[in-house]
Amino acid sequence: LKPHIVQSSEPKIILKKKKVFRIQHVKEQALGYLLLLPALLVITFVALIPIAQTFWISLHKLNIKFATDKSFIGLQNYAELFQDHRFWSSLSNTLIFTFVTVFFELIIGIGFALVMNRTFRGRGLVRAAILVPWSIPTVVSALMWRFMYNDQLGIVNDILYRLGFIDSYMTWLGKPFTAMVAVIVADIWKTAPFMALLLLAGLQTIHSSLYEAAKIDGANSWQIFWRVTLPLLKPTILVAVLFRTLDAFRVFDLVYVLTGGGPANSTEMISMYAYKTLTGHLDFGYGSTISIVIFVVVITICVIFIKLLGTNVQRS
Amino acid sequence: MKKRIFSVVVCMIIMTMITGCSGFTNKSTSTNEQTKDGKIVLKITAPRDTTGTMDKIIEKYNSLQDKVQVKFVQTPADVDQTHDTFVTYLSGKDSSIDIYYLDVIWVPEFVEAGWITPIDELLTEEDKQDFLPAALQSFTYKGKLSAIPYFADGGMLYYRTDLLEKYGLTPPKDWNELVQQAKMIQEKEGIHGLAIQAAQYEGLVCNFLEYAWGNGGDILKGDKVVINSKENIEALSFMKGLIDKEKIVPKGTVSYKEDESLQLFTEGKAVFHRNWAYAWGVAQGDESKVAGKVGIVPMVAAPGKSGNEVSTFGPQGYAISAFSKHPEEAKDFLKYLTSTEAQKEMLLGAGYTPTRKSVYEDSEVAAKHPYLKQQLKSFELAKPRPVNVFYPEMSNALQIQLHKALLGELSPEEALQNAEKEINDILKRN
Repeated sequence: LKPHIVQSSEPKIILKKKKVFRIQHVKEQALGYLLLLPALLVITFVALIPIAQTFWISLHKLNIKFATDKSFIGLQNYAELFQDHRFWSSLSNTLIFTFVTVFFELIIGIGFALVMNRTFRGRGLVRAAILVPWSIPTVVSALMWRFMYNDQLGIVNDILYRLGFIDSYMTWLGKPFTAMVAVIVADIWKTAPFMALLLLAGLQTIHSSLYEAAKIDGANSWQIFWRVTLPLLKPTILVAVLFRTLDAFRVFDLVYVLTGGGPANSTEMISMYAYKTLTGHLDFGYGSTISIVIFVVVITICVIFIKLLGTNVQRS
Repeated sequence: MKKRIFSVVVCMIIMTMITGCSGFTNKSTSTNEQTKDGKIVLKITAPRDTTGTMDKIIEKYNSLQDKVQVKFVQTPADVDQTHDTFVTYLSGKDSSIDIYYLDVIWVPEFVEAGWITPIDELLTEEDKQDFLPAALQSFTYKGKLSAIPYFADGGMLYYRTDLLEKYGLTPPKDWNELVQQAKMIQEKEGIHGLAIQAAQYEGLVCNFLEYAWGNGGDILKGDKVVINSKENIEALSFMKGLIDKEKIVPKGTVSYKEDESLQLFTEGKAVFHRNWAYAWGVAQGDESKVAGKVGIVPMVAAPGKSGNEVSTFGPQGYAISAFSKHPEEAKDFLKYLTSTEAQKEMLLGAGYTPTRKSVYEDSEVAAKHPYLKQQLKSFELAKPRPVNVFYPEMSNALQIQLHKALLGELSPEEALQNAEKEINDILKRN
């Protein structure tokens, strides 16, 4: 086999170029990079080029309603965006939504994961039941919640009224505060199971001998949770929180169906604003600017988490 | 061994590049432009017609001539999704679809982008007399007809014939009568007076405009923004008052779109109901608790302003793509599809409200659909929303401000002041 390759026409071409020929002799590291090349090419085509193009468009005044009109305006779109009241309110809505949902999803997720990690009768059933919300398509569950929140016929009103929590039927989606709460509750219901799934995977990597050792040392279950489970689960928690933060920050379909951004734009998320500008108003210049800002925020979140994650993995 | 791996890597890179590139090259050549027997394939896209009447009309056309084979392509159910799908097709200069169905508010946008072919010459003077004036007006942009309206739609006031009869009332003629009657029956029957749509979406603007027009107001006068007017402030205050002062509209209406408000009406929980033409079929259907007890009148105007009973017009039309390779064939088919005969078939088969007056006058139609007379009255008084290329942005800004006023976050004056400023900004920026 060896002579065959050497004599094939390929190496001859390579021989002419000394640089490439040297590849044979360089360390494995270079080969590693070479093996990465196909993946890098794919990333270039599906991620880097589109992002660069979006950035390039964001420097233009471009509305595809007017096919001919495309002029370079530098950072004017960005200047406009930072003075755009609607941008700031959608950004703060998104941050509130992200922070609150991820916080509650984490707590509920840990609870679910601990339950699912136990051995008890009917564990399979419980595991399946917990995952049901996650397996329903978001648009479907959003519509379902929309009906449940209905002020006249909704089940949420009915239950709360019968339990005596409210004196009269509420218009959940009709007031800014309750609408935001409604969106958050629907999201927690839907994605806490996902959090639980990720955390369960982390729990299963903790060796049972550690628990046994803790018990022998006389730790109670509360202490075991704080001193053994939680520290060892930390890397998994960070990964799960990272995933969920990114997802929550880009939330679209749930809000789009449930409230459409209302009432009075109080639940409009940043990705919805970008969507409306891009496909509704066909203002590609300004829409791209919003998209780039979303991208920058997401990247920043990623970097922060990865820094945290890196140090933690080393410590543990 | 290393050399072997290297050659594999090179192969992989080359393959990645080849497959990566092929995606760009074989674009939009995949449309089958001819059938096996040499006929030209013409594709039309429109919302699904579950009754199959549309298919029948197309089949008939296909059998009438031997040059063209028309094919039907279904759009998504949601109007906004349909818009986005069309934008994707058209901005990519896709020629696979020849005829697009057009919602009235997309007209300026699609014309400015150069996506549709003007079709003025398609209609004769006689045709132009026959079509509803508001329908043609809606699809005329910069003096040119961009689409042929095939489906008329507008807001109208539904009412419970049994309840009005019970209390010896005749349908209301202005705002005051509407409020009085709704309030009286609401108190006696323990149901809501009126069901409308006021969620933050396009329908809110449609509802608001009916009150604004009914009071002599408007959004644009020529190119000038006139939204912050006394008439509009009164209209918005009246609309808000329906919810929190007169209390004939349930509070939750600020989250209602068509379906929720219609449900209230079909459940027998509302005396009056503002909705589009389609609601008639639902309210009279098997699932409805008020079937057989429903009447229609045109929208009501402010007291002392009769003649302003204007409803928001929301017709749909067919337009020919600028990228179609067979515009002449498409024109011929459109003529057929929007003829009196075909519109009558669509009405009788699928319930599509026609855009030609001659269909309304047809004796068979009048016998089968007596309510159409009332709908025609609404359409004759209907007005299109501003035919402006920035309408989507305007509407979006207006929706937010109107909703703030309805929720009581802003006074109607402040909300309309903001809306005027924002709409002016939109026009200035572009």
